[in-house]
Amino acid sequence: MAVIDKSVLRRVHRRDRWARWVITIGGVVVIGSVIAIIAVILYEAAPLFAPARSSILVDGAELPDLAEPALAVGVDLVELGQHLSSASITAYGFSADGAVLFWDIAVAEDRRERPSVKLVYRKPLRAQAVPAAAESKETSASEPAPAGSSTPAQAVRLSEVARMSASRYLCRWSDGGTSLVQVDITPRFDEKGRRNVSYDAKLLAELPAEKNGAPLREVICGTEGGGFRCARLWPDRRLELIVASVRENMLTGETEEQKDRSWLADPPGDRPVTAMAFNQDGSRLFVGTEDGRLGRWDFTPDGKVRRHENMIAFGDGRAVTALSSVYGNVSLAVGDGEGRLSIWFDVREGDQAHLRHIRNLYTHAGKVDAIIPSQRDKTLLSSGGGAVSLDYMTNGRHLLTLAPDRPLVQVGYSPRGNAVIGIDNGNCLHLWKFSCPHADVTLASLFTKVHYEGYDQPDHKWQSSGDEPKHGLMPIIFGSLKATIYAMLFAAPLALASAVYVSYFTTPGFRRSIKPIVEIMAALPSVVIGFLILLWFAPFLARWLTSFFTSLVTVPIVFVLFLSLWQAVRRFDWAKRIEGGYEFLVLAPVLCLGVAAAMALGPRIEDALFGGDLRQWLFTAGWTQLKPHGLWTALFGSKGVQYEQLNALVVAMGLGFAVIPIIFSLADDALSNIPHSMTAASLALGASRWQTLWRVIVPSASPGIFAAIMVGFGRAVGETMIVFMAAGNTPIIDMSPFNGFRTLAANIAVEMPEAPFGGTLFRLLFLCAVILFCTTFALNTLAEVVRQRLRKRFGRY
Amino acid sequence: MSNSGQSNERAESPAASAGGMPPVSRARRVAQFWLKGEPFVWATGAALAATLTMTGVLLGVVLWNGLGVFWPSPLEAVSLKDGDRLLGDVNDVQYDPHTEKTNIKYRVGNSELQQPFRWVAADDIVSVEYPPNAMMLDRMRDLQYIGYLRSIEAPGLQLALSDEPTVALAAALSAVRARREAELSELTAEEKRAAQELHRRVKYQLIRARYQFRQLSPEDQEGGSRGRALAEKIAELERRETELKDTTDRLRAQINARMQELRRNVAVFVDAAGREKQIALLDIVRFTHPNSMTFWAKLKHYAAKVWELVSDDPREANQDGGIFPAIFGTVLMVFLMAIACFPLGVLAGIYLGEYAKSGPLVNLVRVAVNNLAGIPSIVFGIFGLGFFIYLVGGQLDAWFYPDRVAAAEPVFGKSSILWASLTLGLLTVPVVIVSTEEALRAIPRSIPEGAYALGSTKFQTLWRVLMPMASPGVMTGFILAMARAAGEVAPLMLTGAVKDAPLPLDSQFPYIQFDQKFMHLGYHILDISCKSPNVEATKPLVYATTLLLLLIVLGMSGSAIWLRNRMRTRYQSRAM
Repeated sequence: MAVIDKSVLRRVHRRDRWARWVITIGGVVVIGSVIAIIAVILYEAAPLFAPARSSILVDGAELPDLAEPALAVGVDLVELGQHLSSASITAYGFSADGAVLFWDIAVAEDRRERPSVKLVYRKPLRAQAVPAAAESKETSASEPAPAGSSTPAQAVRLSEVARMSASRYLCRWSDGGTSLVQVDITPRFDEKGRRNVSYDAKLLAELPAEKNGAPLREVICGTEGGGFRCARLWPDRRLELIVASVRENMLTGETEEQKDRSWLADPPGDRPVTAMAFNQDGSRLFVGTEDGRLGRWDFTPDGKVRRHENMIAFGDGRAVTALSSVYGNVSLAVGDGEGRLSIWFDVREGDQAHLRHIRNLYTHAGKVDAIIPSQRDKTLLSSGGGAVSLDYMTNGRHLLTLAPDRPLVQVGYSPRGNAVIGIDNGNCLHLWKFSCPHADVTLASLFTKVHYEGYDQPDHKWQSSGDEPKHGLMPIIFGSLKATIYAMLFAAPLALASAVYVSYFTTPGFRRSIKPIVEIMAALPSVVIGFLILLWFAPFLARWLTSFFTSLVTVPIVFVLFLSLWQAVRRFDWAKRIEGGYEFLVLAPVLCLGVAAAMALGPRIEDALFGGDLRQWLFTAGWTQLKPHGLWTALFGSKGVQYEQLNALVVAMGLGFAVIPIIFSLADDALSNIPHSMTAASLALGASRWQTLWRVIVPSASPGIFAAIMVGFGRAVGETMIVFMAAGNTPIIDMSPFNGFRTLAANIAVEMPEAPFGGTLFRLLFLCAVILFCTTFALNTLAEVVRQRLRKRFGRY
Repeated sequence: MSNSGQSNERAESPAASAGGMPPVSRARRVAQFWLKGEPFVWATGAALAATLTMTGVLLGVVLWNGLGVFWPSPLEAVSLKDGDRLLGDVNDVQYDPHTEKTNIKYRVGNSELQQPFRWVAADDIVSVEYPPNAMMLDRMRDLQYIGYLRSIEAPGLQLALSDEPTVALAAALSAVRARREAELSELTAEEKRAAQELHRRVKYQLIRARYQFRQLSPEDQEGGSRGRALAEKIAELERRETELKDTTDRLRAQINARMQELRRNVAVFVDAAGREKQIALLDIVRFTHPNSMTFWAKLKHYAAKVWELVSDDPREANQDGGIFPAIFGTVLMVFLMAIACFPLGVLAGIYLGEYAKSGPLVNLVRVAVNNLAGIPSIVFGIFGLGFFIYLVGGQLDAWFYPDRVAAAEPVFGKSSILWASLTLGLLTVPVVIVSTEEALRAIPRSIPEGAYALGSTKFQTLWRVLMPMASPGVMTGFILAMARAAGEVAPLMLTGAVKDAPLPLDSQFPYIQFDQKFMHLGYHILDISCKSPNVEATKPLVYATTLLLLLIVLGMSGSAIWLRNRMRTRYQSRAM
């Protein structure tokens, strides 16, 4: 008797256990990878919907070396790396004695220590008489700054400072003069990571005092080439425009400044003017009054009035209290006496564009005091009722409200859009760090119509570049559906009919050889199909368009004619044998005959009916003749049809070609899984082969056929290369088969190379992938569940 | 779908189906044909015929255009009604059904002088000749030149040229190439070596040393021993850098000077319009004179062109030349993919085929496999980008190459052949799983049961009995997966395929540069068909590339399918 070595046995069993584990893990890893895929794309897309974040860095600190309340404040925050302690934070304020003070703010990482606020530089504005010679000064943040000369030589004080843009301020002096000041803070980091900040406040423009007193209000705006524009409202309600331009003398090379003064038409209504603003390049002036009227002047580049319009903005007579042009220079933000912030821009009505109310943003507790637009995007900072609100203009998203215990009287917004500064009524400093990287995305703006700048009505738009990126996903989802529907209309009938024929009517020999052919078809790389569609089929179809439509008629006619003739031939035995599964061999030349007939007839028909060019006819005459038909307008709208060479028709052929083998294989599986006994019983009862198929087989296999269509649908939705190459990739919503579209998959392929890592576009493309994943997952899971049921029912795998 | 159809077709008479063999009138028979639904059968047959015809047309178009690309077609010297003359080969003929006229597109080449393609109405042609001395040149730049050889001016070669122009040109070309080989090959190799050391080693060593120096505290930087050592190392590396730069500059200047000298050897051509053109012999890749070539000479040229296609680098922004880097990149990528994909696929396939007991987990795995097969390939691409490149690659860089990240030259955190292969590996896993499972299931149950009865464990049965029997099926899966990977482009667009990249090879360990981008056949097709500045001129190359890709993919899938079918019949007969 053989003795089994125990250790061998043990080893064998250990190996067996190990193998079981490893193999089970291999199976589970498959589930894991599907989960990983959705997890990763969700992880990348999720930050799109993260709320805006703010953290308070300074909560009520005294501002050193500032005796009186600051007239205006601003802030600059530059982050270097992840840590707050390495960030460079500079606040500045205009003091009444005519200087700009810069404070360096150091925040400890753990926030346990109070943040330190240190004066690092003080720049008297009028110490230098000549604005051009303004010198900048550099100090290192690590060493204490030498305080500048304590008071300016003149006893002229600043009476008012108003923010004109992110870093430019209008200063009105007690002597009646006016200056435009630019504040510059440039942090630099040397090779060793040490920070060096240069602070400067430059006089960009200077307007001396006038003899007849000071204007009530004035706004000033720098223009191209070093000039500026200034609008002044005088106590007698007259508006004056000063256009200053700098010209270079060609001979001497010296520059001379030239000022042109002109009077503008009076401001609207007869109530006091409460707000004035230039747009960013000074080509437009807005004026708002106490009783809710708006006036708007458009200027030519040399400062002449091109257009003037007065209008009633608020019918209920609310005051216009703040005006500001929004980044991008198209929209106007209006703050009113009831605390509401609203957006206005030009909308074409007839042949004239009028300033129209587009949407309301946040409503403050008190009247809106100031509106500061971001320099980066369409975020708006508005202050009112002692609090600050941040809103995104395009989609009306309220990002957040910042309200310290004591009401804020002065606010500032950093040029980088990452920090907000506020001075409360106790002259204490508040500073917030702010971030909302994907402010322009909300669920509503992705899936509903949005009124974008420059458009006459709200619409679905996808346009990833430009001042105002338009991130509506509807055109792209629509494109995916359009591609899929057209492709399935082409592919599903062909594939299902072929599958039926192959699994039931043809001979076993052909069945064995046709299945591999279809599998080879499935292996065709989609880039090859895309290339052939693009360079071969699309130009071909454009030339033979009429013949293509003619073939839709001639091929069935030829087919029916052939069957009628076939009745005569059927009597013969050899013909009878053809009916035993060789039909398709006879039919191939018949179909070719139909196509040939169409190619011969097409041009004749085109000459006779469509004036020799169907594409031209579609564009011009077609719609006038066919407009009354509902289907036409449903497909093409009420305009002429533009025939694009890369259109839904050619994509449908290519995409259909790619999904036919998939539908075919699955449908064939489903059909041939029906037990043979059912067929046999039906035939034995005298049913013909078609009757058996149609009444017995197809009903039993219908879940499998449905699954096949689902899987084919999923493939068509996600197919990338064919669509990318042959669909033209224009994101438009239009059901016409003659123009292009952009699908979700193609959108990823088109935009991803240009999308910066972590940006909104980047994450939106991941969102497109999420939508694609979920669609195909749902379709495939549905199909798999149906197939598992079917397997169980017919007792096979 | 079926129920609605049922009620509509009740018109059929019971007599028709019960109809016996004996005398049936012709009218009756015709009526039966229609009533029994035969036309529908024919309609399904028509659908199959249409599908197969379309497949045939598609393959035919590729074959016709792809195979004909390199065959030298006759050069026609055409005189037109307006006195214009042109010389070129027929590229396309289009029949306009409206005007019933034919238009001919000639490739006239000479893109630096004229539009390289020209449409001519057949009616405008006065005469067509086939001058035996007309030549077509493949050039290093500006694509083809078509014209007549006038003279060869090669003072530097000291050649005794024969009177036969083609023989003379061939001799001059081989002479100038031999000269270049003799004079320049050493210099070029040296220059390449220096440039490789500079760009692939010294540059990165310098980045690392500088980064390490920056990481030191200010005191260490000033006076610490480590700081001093690093500073010395940096100085040394910088010296080496300038040295190498000088070397490459000097060598390049030398090469340029010698090339300049060699370029003086020119051939003078005249085109159809009588314009003279000097072409440096070095710029001529090869020439044909199709009107006076024998069949064998044409065949030789054809073979040379095919060899150039598969073995040469692309020229002229991928418009001309070969596609060797794309072939190499595809093969390497598929190889790397196989390493990642096959073990996982086989394990999961064995799990499904042998180990899993039916239950919710198996159903879940099955759903996962089906979904994995159905997820759009672009989603795999974006997953590869988000997961492999940014998450895994970024983390690896943070651990091992913080210096390269700081210098904005990440090693793993960028698209590369490694990540592209892994992404495709995941994409093709379902193919392997399904094939493995199917191969295991095809084995009659009596075989493993016999093994168990003899006392072997599950793993022993699997390893010693089942896997050897299933191996042809598993191999099928491998081949199918490789075919799929070779043809897939969408994920590669996001994970590493580019239009122009050097071979990801190196003379130093690990020899394959996994962090390099690569060229890929499918991407190459996309690039030259969609993004090429001159689609007309690149069309032949696209067709040739497509044909090659199709041969690879269809050849692989075809053999896999053949293998599988053979195996099926084997087991079926055994199971009887």
